[in-house]
Amino acid sequence: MVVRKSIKAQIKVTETTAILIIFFILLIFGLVFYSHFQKRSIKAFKDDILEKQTVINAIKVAFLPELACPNEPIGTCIDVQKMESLKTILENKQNLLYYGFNKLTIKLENKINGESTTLVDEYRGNFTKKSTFSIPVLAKTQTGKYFAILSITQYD
Amino acid sequence: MKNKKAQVQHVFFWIFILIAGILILIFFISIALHQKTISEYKIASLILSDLQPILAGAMAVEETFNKIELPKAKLEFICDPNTLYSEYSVKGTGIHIETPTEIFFSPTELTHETLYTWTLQFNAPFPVSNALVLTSPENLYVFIYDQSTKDLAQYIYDQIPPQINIEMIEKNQINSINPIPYKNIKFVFFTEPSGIIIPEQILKKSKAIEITEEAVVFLQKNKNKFSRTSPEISYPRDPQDFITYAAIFSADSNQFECQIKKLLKRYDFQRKIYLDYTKKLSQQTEGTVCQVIYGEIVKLLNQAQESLSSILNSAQQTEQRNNQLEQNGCPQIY
Repeated sequence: MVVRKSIKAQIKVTETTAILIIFFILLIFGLVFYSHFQKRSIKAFKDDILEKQTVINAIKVAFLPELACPNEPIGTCIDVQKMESLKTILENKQNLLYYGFNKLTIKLENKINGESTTLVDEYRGNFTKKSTFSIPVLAKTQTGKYFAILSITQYD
Repeated sequence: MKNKKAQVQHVFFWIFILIAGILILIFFISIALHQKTISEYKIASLILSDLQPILAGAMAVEETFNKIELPKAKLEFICDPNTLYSEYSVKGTGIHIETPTEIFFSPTELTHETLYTWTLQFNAPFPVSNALVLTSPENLYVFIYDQSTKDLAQYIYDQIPPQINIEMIEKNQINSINPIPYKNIKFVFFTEPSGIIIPEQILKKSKAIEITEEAVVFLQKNKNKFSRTSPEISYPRDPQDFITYAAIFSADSNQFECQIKKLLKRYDFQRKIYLDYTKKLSQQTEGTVCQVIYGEIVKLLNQAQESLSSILNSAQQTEQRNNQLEQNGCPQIY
């Protein structure tokens, strides 16, 4: 009788332990599934941020007072000579960081003859993703004005 | 004996259940707390990632006013005048956006769901940078004038977008201000501030500046009045009143100093670009009257390097030379 009662109690404890184990296994399954879902949503959020950052930087570059053509409102025309002067300044890494252009490639492409002027050269660091945004602008050189595409590539 | 053993087993069984229950409870509470923190960070990141392009867009075009609706959050604006490090953040989350090139004049904290932005442009004389004035309906700006300065106060008042809370008050009507709806009150004295007694409930949420014909002066609280600091914190006014508006909407003299230093740093880059640009134009116009004027501009740009007043001084002269370029049919520099 004593043995039977003890076995009954042992079975009860084992039962409870088994329930707890199953409960935790289900919980772990749930957590793994949830963390996968979270990871995917974080990745989507990061991609979204990268795209927003590209657009912000494109606006920033297009509206740089440093590049404005004489007698033209800022953002409507880019002076290529001023762009070259700014390029010299941006060769200093600290200045590049100051402008926030350290993970960017900035190019101005002449749509008529296909030539391009680079403000910030091709990014050489490591990156996992990149995003490009282009803005049509008017560009001015010594000889005249032409239609160009300002393209900004942001690296992450 | 048997009964006692069964009782002990029963007690142990319940202790086991209790411990397991507590562990499960702790596990769920920690997950809930973790999730709360994550969602707070996520909301802060979302607010800032939405706000950043809005502010970048607002900053791009001069003389624009925008009304932005935001979720309830405490936005904090920091600028250290010594290191020139500046950022804005959702307070308490650590989520922030650094603003090395962006110039903001705003209260230190903005908690209202509505945000007003107004874009100013600093020219010296070429466009140096746009700056963004940020404020909200919880901030009141009070212009205090006397009969001799009414026109100046009215002129400044008329340039500011009407959506921003500004009251024009004659110096003896200070008690007509109702401070209750506002979190911060900024007094802009167009008259001698030391003779004006400010009621206690207004004074505790107030800051002040004084605007004269030539300068903006930051004031400090002195008992129930505002008075000039010692040494005096004053900055020269510019013809476009950029400095004036910047001082009106700055949180304090530290923020103003920091943002102006950032502006001067940006000016220095611009100066180098214009120097290079003018020298190239000078070479292209060798032997003409244009070259002489370009030479004078190069001299002026080389002089204006240090202080705000020297930059403003040289700006006037550079503007004259730029107009001369137009009169002589030479390409202008800006």
